[in-house]
Amino acid sequence: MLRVKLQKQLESFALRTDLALGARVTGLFGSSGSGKTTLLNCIAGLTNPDTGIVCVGDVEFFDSTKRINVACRNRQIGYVFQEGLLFDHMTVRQNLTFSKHERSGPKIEQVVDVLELSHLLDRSARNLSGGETRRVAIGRALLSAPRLLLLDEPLTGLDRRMSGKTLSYISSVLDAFDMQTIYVSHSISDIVYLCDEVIMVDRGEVVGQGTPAELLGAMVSADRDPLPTLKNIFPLTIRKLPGSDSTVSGKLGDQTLVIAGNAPEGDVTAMVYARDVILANQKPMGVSARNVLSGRIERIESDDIRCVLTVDVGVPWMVEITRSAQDELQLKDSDEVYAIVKASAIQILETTPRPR
Amino acid sequence: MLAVLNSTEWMAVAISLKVSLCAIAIIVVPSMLLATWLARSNSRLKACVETLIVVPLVLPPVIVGIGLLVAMGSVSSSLAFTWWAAVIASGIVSVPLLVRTLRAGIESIDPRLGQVATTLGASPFRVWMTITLPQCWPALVGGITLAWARAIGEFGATLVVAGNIQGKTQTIPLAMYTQWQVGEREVRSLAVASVLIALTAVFVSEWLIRKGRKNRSDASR
Repeated sequence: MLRVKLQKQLESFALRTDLALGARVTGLFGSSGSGKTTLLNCIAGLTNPDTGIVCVGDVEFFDSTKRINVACRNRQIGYVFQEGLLFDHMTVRQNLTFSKHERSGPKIEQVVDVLELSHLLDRSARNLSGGETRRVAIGRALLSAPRLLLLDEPLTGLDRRMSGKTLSYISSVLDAFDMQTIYVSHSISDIVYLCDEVIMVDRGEVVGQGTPAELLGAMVSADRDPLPTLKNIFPLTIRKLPGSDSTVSGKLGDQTLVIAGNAPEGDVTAMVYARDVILANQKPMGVSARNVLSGRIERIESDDIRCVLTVDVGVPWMVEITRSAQDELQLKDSDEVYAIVKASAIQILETTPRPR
Repeated sequence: MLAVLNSTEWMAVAISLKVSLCAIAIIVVPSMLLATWLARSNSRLKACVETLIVVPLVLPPVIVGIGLLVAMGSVSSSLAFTWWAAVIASGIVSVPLLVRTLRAGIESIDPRLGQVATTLGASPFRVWMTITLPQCWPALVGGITLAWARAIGEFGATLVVAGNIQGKTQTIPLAMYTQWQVGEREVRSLAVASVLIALTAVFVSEWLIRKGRKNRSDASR
């Protein structure tokens, strides 16, 4: 359990939080300059709050009334900064083993295995791609035997493909190493994919706390314009389709997806935009789309113009339709619906590393 | 060169090397600390300290020498007109060059690298040794070379605080000046010796910078 109750006055704004976080992965969501990084810095001990407390479980890191302020270097909080920030005069191995706590946390072999770094160990840190840099930075933080893992927008600056691949690795890390994590992101889709709970921060204040679906609902209700592009990111197991060189199939729960292209067999992470999914309230006949998935509506968030539904098709998918379409189909919670997706609308982001 | 220089000139070369190397050895660690503080601190005192450091660079060396002589007089009268006085004079006029070069090198390093190292449990000393020093190595070597060149060429302040005592405080510039004053127009030997020493220093510094880069790339292979 992470307890963060603090105040910090900066030149342009004041950060005020009163949080008790118990979820395994908590998303920290907010616009640039809202105070997300300042909050992480206060937790890590890089910035001292003016007043308040910061503690992880029974360990008190900061308490202004008791005059407790544990130095950053003794907090054992794994912090992955934006852009990774590797020590580029060192090798990947030297980066990974930099922490003085390296021997008391996860084994380096396990970290190297999950993040698939074995072929990079003796390479210069300055000769890595953006995605490799982030993986090494995550591995380096894991090897500091952290009580808490802070990931500050680890996908910043990566292209879509690399971003998807790195997201898969982060998901594998969170599955393989059971540690409380705070994941900062601008992307609601990434937060829906990774997080169990979300904190919304705006101008230094916590303005919302709940599940990712509740966050999405709050954004739609707040008539946020434009609504961010919503993506559904999900794991798939690819199999070749007999007699077809142009399509493959993927198992999604107990349903099968047909995907255009020639992806290799195995576990992958796939993505479909919420706006590329069509909903029908009865099974359509004679459509060109290759995927007609049955599902149940779990949640509906709408304003006057648009509607975002969460539909369980084996995994929860967000589907973005117009408000008039929702009204015409009379869609409501728990309705059985059909999600229709073209085979070409499903994108394979990258081969998914298997959690060990 | 052995046969070209007479014994007086050899002594001047030896005193110059001894004085300049001692001056650099004494100022290098304080300069590193000062440059790190100037590069990373937000203290209000920073502007004052910056000004104080630049003063020996902009004042005429004779004035620096007179100031040092007055200061030495109030501390210890036995210090003036010794080779240690020459060391102090050379050190004082060299500090600005070393600090400013080092500071520029340290400022070019992303300060968040130090923060990353701290989150990984590194002490400030370990951050300096493992992150700052390797990253600012070319600036350190370059700064030491510049400062040493300034120290070995120092004339005005040294003349005031250490005098021009043959075999004791007479450095290469002072020996050349003396030869010129007494009508010995042939100062070519010492001039050649100065050029050779300077070229050697530049060569060594370039070699050290390249070696540092090579070590980094070897380590990172």
